Amino acid sequence: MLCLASFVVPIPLIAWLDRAPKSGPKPPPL
Amino acid sequence: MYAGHFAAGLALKARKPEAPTWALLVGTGLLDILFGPFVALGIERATVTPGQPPGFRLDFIDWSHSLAMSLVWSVAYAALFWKRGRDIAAVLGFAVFSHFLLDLPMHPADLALWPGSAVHLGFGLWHTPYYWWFELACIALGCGYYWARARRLRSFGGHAAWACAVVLALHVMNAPWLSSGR
Repeated sequence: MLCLASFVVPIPLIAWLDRAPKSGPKPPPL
Repeated sequence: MYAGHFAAGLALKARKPEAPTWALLVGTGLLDILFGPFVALGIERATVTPGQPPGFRLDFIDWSHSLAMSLVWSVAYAALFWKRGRDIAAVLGFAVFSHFLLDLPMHPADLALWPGSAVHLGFGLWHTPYYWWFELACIALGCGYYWARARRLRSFGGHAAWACAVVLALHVMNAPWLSSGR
């Protein structure tokens, strides 16, 4: 059981870390 | 329980990747988020108990944490996301109710059936030496599932290991040997 402040930092931080992985540039055709 | 609720949010994200992560995390923590203002407004009551785990006693938390109100908050929260589709609304509603399910083994008998009910639930792990380890096991299960699904699906969890590390760090910061507990 925690106060509101205990959620203000972790939620945006975890959501930010969860963002979809960036797909890297496609390798040039051989 | 604290960090365990975040782990539950991540596990639900892994189960339903289309659901917004922030909404899942707010959902799993919603009952505690409501508790703060409710105490400030005098609707609910808690007493600080330094040196006695978890560091406070919850005298009256029926409006945020009772079984009936947990269901009410779950339905209300799901309704907020109804436009995103029934499945997403349902998982977000369950995210809210998961808080009650995870608190049930941890809390002493302070979870009322409904506001004002004489019947209170709670298995009281908080008052045993095992509470921190039980929550750690919940975190391991939730984060393990999230991490494995993130690696397989690759549509979320770009930094899944770091997200899990944050949850674990929050739990370590809450360890009884580092603080008076929560």
